[in-house]
Amino acid sequence: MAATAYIEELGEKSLLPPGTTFNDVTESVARVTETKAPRGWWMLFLPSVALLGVMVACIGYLLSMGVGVWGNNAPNYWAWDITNFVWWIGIGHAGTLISAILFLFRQNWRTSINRFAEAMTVFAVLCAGIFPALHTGRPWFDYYLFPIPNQMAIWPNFKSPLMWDVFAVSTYLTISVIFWFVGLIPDFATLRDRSKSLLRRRIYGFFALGWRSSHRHWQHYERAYLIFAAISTPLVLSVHSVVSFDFATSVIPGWHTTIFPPYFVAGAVFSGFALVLTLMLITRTVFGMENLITIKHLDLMNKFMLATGMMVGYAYAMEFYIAWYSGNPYESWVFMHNRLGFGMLDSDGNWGPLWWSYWAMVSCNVLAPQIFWFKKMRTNIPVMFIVTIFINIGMWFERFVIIVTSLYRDFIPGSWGPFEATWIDILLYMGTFGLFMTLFLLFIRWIPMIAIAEVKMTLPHAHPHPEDDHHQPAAAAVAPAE
Amino acid sequence: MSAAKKGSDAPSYRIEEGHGVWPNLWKFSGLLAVLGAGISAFGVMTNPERFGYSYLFAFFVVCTLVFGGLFLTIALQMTSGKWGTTSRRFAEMVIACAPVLLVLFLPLAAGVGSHTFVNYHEWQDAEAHGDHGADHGDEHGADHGDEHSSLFTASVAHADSGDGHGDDEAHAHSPQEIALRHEVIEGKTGFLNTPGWLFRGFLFIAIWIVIGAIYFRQSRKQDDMLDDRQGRIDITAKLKFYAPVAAIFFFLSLTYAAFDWLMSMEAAWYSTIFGVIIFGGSAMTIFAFCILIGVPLHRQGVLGNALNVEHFHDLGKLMFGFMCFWTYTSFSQWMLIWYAGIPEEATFFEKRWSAGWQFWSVMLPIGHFALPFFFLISRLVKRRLSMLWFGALWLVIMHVADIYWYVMPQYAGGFGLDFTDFGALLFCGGTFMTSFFLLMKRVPLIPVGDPILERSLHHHQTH
Repeated sequence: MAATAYIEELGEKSLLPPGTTFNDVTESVARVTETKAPRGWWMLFLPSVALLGVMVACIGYLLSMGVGVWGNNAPNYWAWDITNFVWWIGIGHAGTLISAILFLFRQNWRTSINRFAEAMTVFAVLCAGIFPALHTGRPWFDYYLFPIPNQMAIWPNFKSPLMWDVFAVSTYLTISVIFWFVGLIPDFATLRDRSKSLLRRRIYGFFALGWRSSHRHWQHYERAYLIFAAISTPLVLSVHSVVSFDFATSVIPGWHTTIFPPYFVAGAVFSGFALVLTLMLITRTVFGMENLITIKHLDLMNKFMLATGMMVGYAYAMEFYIAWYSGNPYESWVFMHNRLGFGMLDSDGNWGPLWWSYWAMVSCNVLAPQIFWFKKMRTNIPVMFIVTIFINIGMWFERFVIIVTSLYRDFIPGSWGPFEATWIDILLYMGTFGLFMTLFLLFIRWIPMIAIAEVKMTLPHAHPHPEDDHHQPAAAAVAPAE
Repeated sequence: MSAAKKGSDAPSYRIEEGHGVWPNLWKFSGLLAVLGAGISAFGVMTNPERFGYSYLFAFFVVCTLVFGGLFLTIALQMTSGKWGTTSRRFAEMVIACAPVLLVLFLPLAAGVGSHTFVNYHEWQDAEAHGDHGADHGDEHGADHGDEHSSLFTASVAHADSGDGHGDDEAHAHSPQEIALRHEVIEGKTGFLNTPGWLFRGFLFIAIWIVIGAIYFRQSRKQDDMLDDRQGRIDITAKLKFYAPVAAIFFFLSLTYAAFDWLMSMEAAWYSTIFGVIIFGGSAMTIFAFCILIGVPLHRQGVLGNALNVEHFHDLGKLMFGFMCFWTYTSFSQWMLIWYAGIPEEATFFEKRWSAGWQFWSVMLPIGHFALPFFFLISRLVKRRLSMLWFGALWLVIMHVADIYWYVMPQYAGGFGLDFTDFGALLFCGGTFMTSFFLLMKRVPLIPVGDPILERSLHHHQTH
């Protein structure tokens, strides 16, 4: 299959460099788990474990003192806690989108990034779960959230969006873990078969579930994968929709608006892609994966971020426009004073004091990705690294803006109050990065970080009739010259 | 190219004499359009107020088909999706007929501009009030009502008129409430005013005509330059390059058209997701439309194997997917407004839950989602073309019912199908389809010059 079969004028080229063999793929992925960790890995791992320690200490302090150690106050009943929860849940969305929705849309380029993103999904959801669990105030009573007959013989209130969250997030975590694991089985078998030590063979063999790569195994595997993709697809939409319901079912201006569910989903995918790309750019360099995660993959991911960034921008615009169109003075106040700042001044002639957070959000989420209109920028690694950092920050601010700027200057001026984060707010949030990065680094060290079997399927010689144009992108066949 | 030359029995992908009813279908739809025009004329003369709603409903149904065509064309060019290249021409022909919207918009513009149609009476009255507002500026109150009775007849009297809810305390509105509502609507007249509404209407239609013309003509140009491969690739590259820009113009114009034409009828009501819902229904409709047109053409052998069960399966999946998307967005809108229970937002659903509309409001989630969900989820159904065709027909009917549900409850007379509804639909739909069928006779039914066509012809599903 010659590379000329691609129509290069349309930006088509082979996913992996021409001439990549099956063995190249196996070697470059499996090698990471078989050789000593590079120094770069340790340089990331040790600080991550330290941060994890910070997280544990913060949680311990919070449990002993109570949630008063956070900056939350009246009227800012929610602040960093729920901001961090929504942010982490959002990060977790890229994985399922890439592994389920892009699979159903037959986007082959997903194969080099899906394992990575799925792992991040699982870890991000774990980090997310910490915050709502703690914010209940007395986390040792969190089991009230589950429909188990407890000592008071009452059932959870299923009319509360908090309950929907419990079920949405735990379902999401369960399905994501299963989906991730099912995809890993053939690769665990590869590692098992390459193992030189008995212990290694036993451990990977345990997780490979007796995989022998027989025809029947593959048939079942592919059928299962398709079914999981179909189950996961509505979950991509439902989880963040339910998270958005936490806000939108209320009557708080700035929270209650009908576009929230799809807006949150688009934002979640946007932020998820950004963090996947941030970490991927680092890992790709540290482990020399440039031949498996090519510029073409990065280019496509950047296009995806541009598209989802535009969707988020559309939602911002709609919210703003409807705040005016509604003729509701409270809506206008939230958007013009609390967020925009200068649009409406308070009785002392002051701007809304948190105006800068709104502008940080717009600059990072809407303006920064516009640079991806240019192919030169989409294929420039330093540029995309910086933009992904901007997006990660911007999407955190988005949740902060939604939560705090809707609350801090609400209906009655007498109840207004400023919000200031405490050291525990900041350290706990940083600490969850420790948890996330520790898990993530262990993952790339011991589990094949790229789906070996799936990447192989995209290679030209994986097709049953590699010379047959019917199965290949064969523009040559259209050319009248032939 | 190679597809066309494949063998002596290769189809031309064109409608020719002997292809069943296809060459003459335009006469049939033309006849329906004339019939519809007659009924519509009668409707205008007998009850112009009612007819204004009927006509808006019919006009918007046709608009959503064009929305769907724009979406499918732009999306396929943007992503180079090989599965859909062979069905793209259907969407391209739909958007090539966008100028018909301009013709169909003229009666609506005339009716609204001359206040013959009362669809937008709430803000049009407020606008008129604003013009001589200096006299009445601060007189909001009960006595205010006589002068502007039509302003709140629809919103307030509506509930009273329909189904015996008139005595229900919950529906009683105090003079203060009415005055407040009036004030809110008056505040919007900077946007909701007749000149602005007319200008935006023509602007949106112009945007769709321009995008439609560019994407249809360039694709047609490729058909006629089969010997110039490089030229065809250049055109595809250009269309791909501009697709994201077209998408932005398309989506914003769709959103504001939905605001202007549908949402503003309930002038005090607002919903940020409104444009997204209209988009979801439109996207579903274009896939259903491709199936409705494509399956009989396939059966007749007009398309050879260019559009086969693999392609129909994909179209069916996407139709199913966007049906779910419509449900998701519609549910979000309903659930959030129901849950919050803010009176000014609830008016929209109150109208659809009174005056005989309850049945229609229950039918939509069942007919537009539950039944087709369980029917179309099966792989078997999507690959058995007669069943898929039936599913597509069902969903198109449900889509029309959905638009009906958005428009007609705004009419103060309560639920009741009227002959003018059918007349207007026959006129608008018939006119549009006549131009579509005429165009169909003149062009190849698949984009034979598209450089990635070959891949679509040999499209096999892996899952």
